[in-house]
Amino acid sequence: MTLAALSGCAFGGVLAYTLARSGKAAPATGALGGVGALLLVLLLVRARAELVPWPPALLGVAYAIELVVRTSHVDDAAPLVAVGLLLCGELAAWSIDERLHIAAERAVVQARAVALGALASGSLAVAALVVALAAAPAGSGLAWTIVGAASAVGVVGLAVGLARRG
Amino acid sequence: MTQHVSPRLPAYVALAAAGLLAGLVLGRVELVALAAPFALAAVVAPALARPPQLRVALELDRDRALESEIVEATISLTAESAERVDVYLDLPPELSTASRNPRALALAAGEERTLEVPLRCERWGALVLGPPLLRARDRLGFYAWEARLGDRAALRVYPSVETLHALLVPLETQVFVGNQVSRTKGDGIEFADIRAWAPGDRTRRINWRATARRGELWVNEQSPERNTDVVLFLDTFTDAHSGGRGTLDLSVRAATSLAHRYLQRKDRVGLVSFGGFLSWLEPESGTRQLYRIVDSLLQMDIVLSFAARDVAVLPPRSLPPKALVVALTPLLDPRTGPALLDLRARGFDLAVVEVSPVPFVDAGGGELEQLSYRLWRLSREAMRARYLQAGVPVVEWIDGVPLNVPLEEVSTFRRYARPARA
Repeated sequence: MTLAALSGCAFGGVLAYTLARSGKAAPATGALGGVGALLLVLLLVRARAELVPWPPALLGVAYAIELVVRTSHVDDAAPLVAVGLLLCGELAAWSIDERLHIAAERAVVQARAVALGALASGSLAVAALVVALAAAPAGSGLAWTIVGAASAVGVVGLAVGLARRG
Repeated sequence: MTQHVSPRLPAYVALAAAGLLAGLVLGRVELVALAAPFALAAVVAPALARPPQLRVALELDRDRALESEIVEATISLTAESAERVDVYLDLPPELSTASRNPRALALAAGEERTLEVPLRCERWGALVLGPPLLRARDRLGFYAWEARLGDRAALRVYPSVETLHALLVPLETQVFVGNQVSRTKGDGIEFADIRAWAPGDRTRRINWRATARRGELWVNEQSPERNTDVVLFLDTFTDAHSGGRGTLDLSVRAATSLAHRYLQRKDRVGLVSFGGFLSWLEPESGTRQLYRIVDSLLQMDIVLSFAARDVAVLPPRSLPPKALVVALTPLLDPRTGPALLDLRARGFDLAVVEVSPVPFVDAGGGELEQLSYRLWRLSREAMRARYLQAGVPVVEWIDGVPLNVPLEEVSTFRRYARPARA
C-alpha cells in the first residue's frame, strides 16, 4: 500500500508539474495524464504488471507535448521529471510484487530499496549530465545527428533483442 | 533454470528509444533526458543479472507420522550468489503449515541457509513433497530464474486410531490359538458344559459336585480359545464428501482402527477394496500385516468405473471360510448391495457398517430438492430393510459418532439373530 501510494505520489508530482507549465496544451496534457492516472490505479488495483510502463509513457508524452507547445528554453527540471517517471513505474512494479504474499527478509527489502535508490540517483545524474551537456557549446551538424541517430537505433536494437529473449 | 525477463525491461528500452528519437526529431534535449533513466535501467539490469547457482536439499525429520502430528521439513540452500531467492514448498492439501511459505531471502556467495518448515499432518495419505520451487531474482526484479531443485521427500501419514472398547465377535472361529473363546468344545480354559464321563476322559476333568448329585461320573467341558479371520470389506465405488471429510475418509479410519484392534487380539485380518479399482490383502496376523493394511489403505481412492463387479472376481483366499466380513460402505453404488447379499448367500458371517453419506449431502432449499432428498432417504431405508430381511446386521454410522456405537449395535443385533444355514 505504501509503495502504491509512493508510486501515485511520483506520478502526481510529475503530472502537477506538467499541468502547471502547460498553458494552451493543458487540455491535451491533462487528458493524457488523466488516462495515465486511471491506468496506474487500474494496474495497482488489479495487479497487472504488464501495464506498468504505460502510465509513465503517457505522462512522458504529455510532458513532450507541453515542451513542443511551449518552445521556450531548456527545462532544467527535466531530470527530475525523468526520475519521477522511472520511480512511478518501479514503485508500482514493486507494489505488485508485494501482492504475492511472499514473506521477505528485511535484507531483501533493504537490498531492493537501495538498488532502486541507486538507480534513481544514477538516472538523475545521467539526465542532469545530458541537460548540462546540451547547454555546452559543443557545436552541431550532421556528425552529431548521426551519433544521436545511431544511439537511438542501438537502443531500439537492444529493445528488440530483449523482447526476443523474454 | 528457466529465465524470465520482466515485461518492464523491453518496455523501458522502447521508452528510451522513443525518447531518444523524439528528442532527435524535435530537437529537445529534455526528451533525451527523459529517456536517460529508462536507458540506464535497460543497460544496467542485463549487465548485473547473473544466473544463480543454487543447490537445494529437502529433508523430513521422519517419513511416517500420525494425523495431527507435526513433521519438520528442512530446506537447505546454498548459492554462489543470489540477491533474492523465493522458496516455496508446494504442500498437498493433507498438510498445512503455520510458518511463512513462500518466503524470500538473500544469499551471499557461498552462504548456506537452512529453512525450517513445520508441517502439520491434517489428513492421512501417502504424500510426496517437493522438490521446492525456487525463484531467484535480481534486485530490481527485471530478471527471474525459476526451477524446481532438490529431491522429493515421501511422507506417510497414518490415520489416527480410535479406541475401541469391544469388537464384533465372529460366529465361528478358526483352528489356531487366539483370544476368542470358541463356540465349539475342546481343550481350553473357559467352562462350556458338563457331560457324562466317557472312557478316555481325564480324571481331573471330573465335576465332583455334579457326580455326587447324579450318582454317576460327569466331566466338565471347556471352550477352546481360538483366533478368527476378519475381512474388512471397503466399498470404494464412490463416496460423498464435503469440507475435506467424506465417507471414504471415515471408512479408512474405521478400517485402520478395526485392523489395529483385531491384530492385537492375534486374529488374522484381511482387506478387500471393492470398487473401480479392485485390490485385496489375504488375511494374515502380526504387526507386519497391520503395516500392510495401513499402507494399502493409504492408497485408497475412488476410481470411477462402470464395470460390473461381483464377489466372484475376488480370489477365494481373500475371503476364507468362516471369516467375519465387516463391510464399510456408504451404500451409494448399486453394485455394492448385490455383492454384499451375494456374500451373505455364500454363508459368510457379514456385518454392514453403513458409513452414512447423509451429513455430506445438502438437502437443498427448493421444494423439488427437498422431495428428492426425502425419497433418497426412504430408498436407503428400504435398502437397509432388505439387508435385515437377509439376516445381515446393518447399522448407520454418522460422522462424529464414535465407532464403538455402531459396533455395539451390530453386537446387539447378532445377540438375538442367528444366521440360517442353507
